[in-house]
Amino acid sequence: MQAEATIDSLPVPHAHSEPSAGKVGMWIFLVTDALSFGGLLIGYASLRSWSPTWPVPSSVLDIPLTALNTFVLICSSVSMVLAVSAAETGDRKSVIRWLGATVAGGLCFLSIQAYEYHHLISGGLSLSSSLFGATFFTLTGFHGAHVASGVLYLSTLLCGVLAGKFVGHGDSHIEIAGLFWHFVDLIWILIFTFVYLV
Amino acid sequence: MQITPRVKLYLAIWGALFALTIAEVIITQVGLGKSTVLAGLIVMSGFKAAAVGLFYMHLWWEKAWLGAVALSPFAFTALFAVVLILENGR
Repeated sequence: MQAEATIDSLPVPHAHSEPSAGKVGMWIFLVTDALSFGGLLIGYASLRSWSPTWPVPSSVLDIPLTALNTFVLICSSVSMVLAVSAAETGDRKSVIRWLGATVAGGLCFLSIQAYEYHHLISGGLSLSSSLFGATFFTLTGFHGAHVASGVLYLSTLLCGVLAGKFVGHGDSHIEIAGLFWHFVDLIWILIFTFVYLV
Repeated sequence: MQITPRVKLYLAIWGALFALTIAEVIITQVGLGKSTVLAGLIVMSGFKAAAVGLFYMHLWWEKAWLGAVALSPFAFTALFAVVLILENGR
């Protein structure tokens, strides 16, 4: 009860006020996007449960490497939320630093994923090799495309911040971009658990 | 950058996400029963997803209706799963 009261008292701008049109628009997009991922995850689970020959994921996939990649994405989520926090206080230098760190985290995630794909494809796993391959590459590839578009989105914002835009004066561009980035992180948490670990 | 109580909360959640990710990997490798592992993974990933949604996406401080909108894909996905299971049972 006391913890709830403490969290409630933290100074978050616009707390419990009506969200801006831009924020509602992003949330509506995220809901539709989440439905796409939901369909893909349910499709993966259905095919896995109906298939008589499904490999144990840990025997095919590199779990420690992907755990490291998950950590990279979690770190980029923290840097994103710190960028949002800095933007609200008008701290342009910190926004540039944290937004840059978030873009770097996204690029690092994509590089590790490209290495993983290269390793798996060299080992004979592809979109057409098996049901596992088809669902694995579709799901992780769709997510990877989101990370790539997020990197592009945040890089554009970073250029804007460097040009003197998007910081302070109630501007919510960075907060809205943060929603997209955290969504990408949230979806990866589920993919890592249900595709790599289960 | 100033270390405000809010920044401390963000860093505490980062620590929890890191610890839960490690715990998820460990639980799959210590030889527990399949259903125990599955239950543990569902609970831990649920906690991680909820922490990101509530605190990093600020749903904790948003209007309740926006939280309901954010939760709606989970309900629709569950409905989709139930329909698939029922169809498969025919």
